[in-house]
Amino acid sequence: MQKYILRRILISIPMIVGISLITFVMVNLAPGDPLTAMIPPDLMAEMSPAQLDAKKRQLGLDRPMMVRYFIWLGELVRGNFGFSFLSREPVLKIIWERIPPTLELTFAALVIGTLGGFVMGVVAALKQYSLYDYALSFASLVGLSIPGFFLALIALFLFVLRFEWFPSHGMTSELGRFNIWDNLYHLVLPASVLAIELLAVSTRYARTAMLEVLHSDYVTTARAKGLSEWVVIGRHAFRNALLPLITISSLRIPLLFGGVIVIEQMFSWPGMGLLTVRAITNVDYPVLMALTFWVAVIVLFSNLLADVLYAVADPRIRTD
Amino acid sequence: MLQTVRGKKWLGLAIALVALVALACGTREVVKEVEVPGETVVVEKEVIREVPVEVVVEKEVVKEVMVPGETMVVEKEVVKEVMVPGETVVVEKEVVKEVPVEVVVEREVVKTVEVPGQTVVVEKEVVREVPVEVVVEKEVVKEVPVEVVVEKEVVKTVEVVKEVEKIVEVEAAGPEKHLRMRFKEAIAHINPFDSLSRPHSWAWNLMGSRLIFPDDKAMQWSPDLAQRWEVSEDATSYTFYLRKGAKFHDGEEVTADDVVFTFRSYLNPEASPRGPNLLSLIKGAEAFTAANGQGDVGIVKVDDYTVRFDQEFPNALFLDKCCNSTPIIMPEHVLGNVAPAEIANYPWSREFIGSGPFMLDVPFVADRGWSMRKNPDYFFGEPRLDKISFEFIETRDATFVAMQRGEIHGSSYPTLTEEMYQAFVTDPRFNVIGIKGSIMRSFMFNNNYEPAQDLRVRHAFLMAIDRQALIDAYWQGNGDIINTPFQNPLYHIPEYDSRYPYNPAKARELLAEAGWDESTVIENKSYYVDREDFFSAIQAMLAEVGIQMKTTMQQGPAWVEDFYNKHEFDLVFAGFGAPFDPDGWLIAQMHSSAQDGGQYANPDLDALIDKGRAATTPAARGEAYAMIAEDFIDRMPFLPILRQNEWWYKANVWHQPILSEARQATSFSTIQILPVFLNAGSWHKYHPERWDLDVR
Repeated sequence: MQKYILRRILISIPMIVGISLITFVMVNLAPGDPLTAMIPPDLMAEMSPAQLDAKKRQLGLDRPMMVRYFIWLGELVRGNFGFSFLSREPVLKIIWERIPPTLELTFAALVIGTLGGFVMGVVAALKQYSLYDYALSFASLVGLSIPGFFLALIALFLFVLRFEWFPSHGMTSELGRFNIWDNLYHLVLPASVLAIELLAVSTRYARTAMLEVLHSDYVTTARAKGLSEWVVIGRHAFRNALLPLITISSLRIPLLFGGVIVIEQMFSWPGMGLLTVRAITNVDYPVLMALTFWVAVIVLFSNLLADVLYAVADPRIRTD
Repeated sequence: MLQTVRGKKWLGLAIALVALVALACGTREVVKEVEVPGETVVVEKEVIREVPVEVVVEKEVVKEVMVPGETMVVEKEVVKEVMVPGETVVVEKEVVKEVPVEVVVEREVVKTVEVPGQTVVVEKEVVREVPVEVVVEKEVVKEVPVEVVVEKEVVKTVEVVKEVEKIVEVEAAGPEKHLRMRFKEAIAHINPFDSLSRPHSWAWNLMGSRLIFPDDKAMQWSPDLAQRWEVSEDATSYTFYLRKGAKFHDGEEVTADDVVFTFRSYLNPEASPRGPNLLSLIKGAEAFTAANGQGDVGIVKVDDYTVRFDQEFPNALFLDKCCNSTPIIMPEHVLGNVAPAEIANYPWSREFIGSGPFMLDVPFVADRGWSMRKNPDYFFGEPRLDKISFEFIETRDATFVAMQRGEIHGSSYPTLTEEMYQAFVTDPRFNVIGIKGSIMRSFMFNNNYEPAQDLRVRHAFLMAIDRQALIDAYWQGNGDIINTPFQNPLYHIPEYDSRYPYNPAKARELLAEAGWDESTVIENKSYYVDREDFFSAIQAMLAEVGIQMKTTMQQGPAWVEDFYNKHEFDLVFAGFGAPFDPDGWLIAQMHSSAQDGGQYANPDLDALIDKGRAATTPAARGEAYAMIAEDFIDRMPFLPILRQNEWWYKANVWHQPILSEARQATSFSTIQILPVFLNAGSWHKYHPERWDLDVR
């Protein structure tokens, strides 16, 4: 098992390097550079070409693209992600500050989406063809189809403006005064909106998986042995239905991190999603590269996590 | 309660008068007073004055408020200020202003503390609405020579008629006045040497002071740290006289050393990496900047409270350059020990030591915000607000919702959708105020673009477009049709603005004369990515006369590169800033020493721009600018669609001296457009200590 995990990690390294190279090239091929993004047009116009060149040199933008890439990679190996063009702060510090809010948001969404979806899906499977089942199928289809930003808008206008249940922005009511309940109060709406898609997906997967298991031979056998329905479902069916859900949820983690880009913007949640949008619009590629690196790591790690958890849940996979 | 106060109005007035006088004299005063029903009154006054001066300038302001009926309020304010040693002259000035006002809301707060043997807090608040017709303001300035005045005055009046029987009302200190503002920009710090966005400017204005500030109320430069300033007769040097006793938040006095340090740092690219070139008029600035802040530059400390700026050449521009968007005076005793290159990395987010009305309270966190508490020792007086915080809200939707919920009171960034503004103008809790804008939304041909070399094509282009229809459809009628960027009343030539009216027939005629090839497709580049329908409308109008235009949307950085760096475009559409002083944008957009995006620069134009720079009177500058305008109206380097005003929305509980003067808007057409002195957006520089908030 350990060997397996180690091998997977080693395979990840060239993949991450490849991803970073592609990102670097793409960012640099995009029109504009950090300088044009950094200096407003009015001010840019006032600067002489010589001054602009000096600034480019200052930012290290005067060297060829590939040279800059290898400098970046070399620094990365030494653990240095560089400095943001926009704020001149160390990239690591900038990202480090944004990780907790994003983790909080995605973790909450993951819990809501997976647990909620599993429970609802299992109930739907047990009451197949009931009104509840149809309603849930419809709801999950809707949840899957509506884009996140639109759901966020609806949530904002319904639950913030009309019913006044939740606050409109931020992580806390007042700057500098942190209170866990206040924070959770601010978390509910963005986390719920972020969770909707996962909730819809996991409901459908849980329902299908549960139905499949319920119709399998070993459940019939269990019933034939005269076991109580509670034991049949709780002990035999449940655990096997869980398997595909683990895969789905783990593979969905990167998608959640994609979703935060929209949700964090809509609810002004100060996390990585917002930072990503900022880094892109400002062509702040030290930050952008670090973020890409982070996302690549997350994706690869999630895949690994899915495999490992799968092995834990399914003894047949464990042997290798 | 109300009755008692009215009965004791004379007392209130007397106390207010004494307080005003004492405050103005820079003295310390303690007034203790207890009021109980019946006639029990305890008044204790203690005034200590220590004024060692050489010359005393006396200022007397008399305000008379005339009200229909018999109510009359007379306010008297005497200000004594310390000035430079000088001649024995008595100058008297009298200014009478007549301002028609509709309603005056007066607020009176009397705080009464301490009863012998018992500590009691009694607070009364009266809000009166007085309809006023005319306000007459008189200002008398007298200069009287005095050598040294040390005055000490202790007045104690104790008058007890009856024993204290009952406490009228006991109340804790009033609710906190906490103004909450939205910002949306991605700022990473609040370093005043290295920032350009609006929230930065708010941060410095609230926490820092500049030498003088553009006063949108008086329509002139008004004193900030500098009490007065002088321009030498030949306009080669500007001298600023600092007020004495102005203090940084850490208690140190602001002196000429701080001013010199600040301006030198601004000119040093190591300390101010994005440093604007606004200060290049200072003698030797260019060499000083090129040498990373080494060598001599014309910033001279004359004495502890006097700084002189020598100029590279005589000009009438320096006040605009030195004191509008540039330096907030920073503490030399703190930053002087920091290496210039390290100033950008100084922990600005956690430490901002300025001398403004508010001081940093909760440090800045990116994408969250920061907050400030009042500075009770501010030299213009203790602020009325207790706290101001800036909260990060990314989207317009959330901003709108937060305004509706009362979570915020205003914004440092005004753009909302039409529907949102509509909701604000129809809601009495909010107001929308227009500020005369300097943004000119305009097309610009590449001067080297072959098909538009014939000037008739440019004229036809403009006459084919129904600008008023576009303004009504896409800018809610909020804009004026102009043809030249010279919008300062001093240099504006109104008849030019009606030169190219909508006239498709005439446009076709001009194109025919010019031999226009209808198969030509003009490629327009713009960063107005959310305005596709606007360009579609223009394209349809142009197609009517036989001009084909295609619009490519670009992100800001890409557009800047194509326009300013590569000049790869036929036509662009952009928001060109045309502030009221023409010099800045002429240098930026039209001079060959700059980027010259549109490729219009030529030696003749350069000479005229330089002539305008070096002229020392508005009339002389006007001559140069009239010649440029004459050239522009023919060659049409800018093809403006409109000059747009800024719409600001605010909750009416927030009182801001400039914005609160505007009448309540009830529709887009009733939004009042306020004039500005120098630049749109400088209203927030106006005396933040006088801002107020209604709290329940």
